[in-house]
Amino acid sequence: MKILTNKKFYKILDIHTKDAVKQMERYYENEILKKQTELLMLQNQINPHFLYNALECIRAEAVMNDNPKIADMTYTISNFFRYSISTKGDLVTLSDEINVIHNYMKIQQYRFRDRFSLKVNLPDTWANVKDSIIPKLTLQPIVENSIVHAFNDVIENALITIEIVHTKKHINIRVSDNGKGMDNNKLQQLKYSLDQEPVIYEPSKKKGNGLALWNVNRRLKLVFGDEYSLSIYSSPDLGTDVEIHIPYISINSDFTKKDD
Amino acid sequence: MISLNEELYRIQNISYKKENTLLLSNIDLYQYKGETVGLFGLHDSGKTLLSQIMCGELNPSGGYFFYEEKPVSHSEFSRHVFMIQEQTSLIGSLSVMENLFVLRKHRLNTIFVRKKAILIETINLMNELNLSINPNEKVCNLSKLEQCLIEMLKAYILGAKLVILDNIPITIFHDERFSNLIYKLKTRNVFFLITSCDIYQLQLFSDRIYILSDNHIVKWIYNERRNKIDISKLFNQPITYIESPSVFLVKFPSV
Repeated sequence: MKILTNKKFYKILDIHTKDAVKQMERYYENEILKKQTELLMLQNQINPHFLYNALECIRAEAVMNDNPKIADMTYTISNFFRYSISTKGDLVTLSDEINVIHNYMKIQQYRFRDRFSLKVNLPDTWANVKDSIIPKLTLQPIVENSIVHAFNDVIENALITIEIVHTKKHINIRVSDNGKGMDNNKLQQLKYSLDQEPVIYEPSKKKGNGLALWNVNRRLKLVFGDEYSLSIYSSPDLGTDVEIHIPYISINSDFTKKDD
Repeated sequence: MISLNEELYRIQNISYKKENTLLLSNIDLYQYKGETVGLFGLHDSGKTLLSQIMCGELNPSGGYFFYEEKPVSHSEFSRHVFMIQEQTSLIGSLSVMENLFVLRKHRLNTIFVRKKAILIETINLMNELNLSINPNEKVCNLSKLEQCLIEMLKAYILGAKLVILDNIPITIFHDERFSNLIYKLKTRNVFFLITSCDIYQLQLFSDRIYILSDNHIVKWIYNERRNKIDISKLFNQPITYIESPSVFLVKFPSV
């Protein structure tokens, strides 16, 4: 048995209390962020089943009228919303995330008549790495940012490249665009905003620049730890690159079971 | 068999503040084993400062260090890094072998220098790495290139896994002995980060080139794609280089 002085006892108590509070804070912040992401996607509180059924009806009608293009488009949109709105866990596989990007780009290509193209460079070890976990909707907001901000003046040859590198214990994902990029001040501001304290999303306010990236960055830190975050590189006329560095954790590992 | 990339190191969110002035801001940089990385920046952009932080001469204000994909402390990280600068750190009045083997941290329980032993060790090392520099020659009598080669050898002996070549003159890069030693050390798991304000110099050896501007990294590019971009756009001013006619691209088989 160890006899502690009052001072030492309170010091130990203080350390444990701080740890417990920090853990609680992390838990609640993670929960709030999950809700924020859902909110962002749900937008006007659309009933998902109503949406899926409506889209399915349109698709059936299109098939019956021999209009494969509309059928395909409806199917893609339906898949995209099914993934985005689904509340089944916050962690998905990298393969799911890449699929949703293909879906999302397909929708954008329909909308903007092939103004943008997507190139995905998968590693040779893709078969081993595709079951790795990643917070849901990590890549889509980055790709959306490129489309909204990087290419708003670009009419042709707009290219988004996703490059995945698998190392022994980690996965590096780089999303690059060849858009207009940003100047040093804007880049510094964006990087600074990523490190700011949590903000509560207010749907009534206009979606601000960088909120989506802030959200992605914060969720990466909450899920994997403070040492994991987004890296952003950009220069005027030379495009923007967003890099994600995450640990390789299989969806079947204990880590995801804990999360459930 | 599919080979995995292995990350040699990664520095994340490194900042350096001096008297309330932010001299380096949120620097992220990484290097895979087998690759050579270039760090490009104009004068006073922070290249040497970053190199000094990486080799432990300066302490950063914040950030994370990873070595072989494990989080490590700054001091643990810097144990694997050796910096070579234009001004040699070797002692001019001592011989090559004395610089290599006497001036190193060791655990030998002796205060006497075993001259014959270190001479043999130096000769063996020179033979192993295909170098022909007289071990008994005083360092002050060597050329700049030879001094640089001896420093690279010293880094290898000290167990460095990352050698930073900070602003080394381009004339040294054009010498075959230098490129041969880089290649040989790479096969022995010693990798290089080259810093320079001359993009053409970095293109000689680098697989990827990071661009440092206004105290932060604004971009990294693959060397083979480098010529497709106009680098002057990064600095909002035309950058003029006097390109040496003897500039050539050295291509080695990947390690």
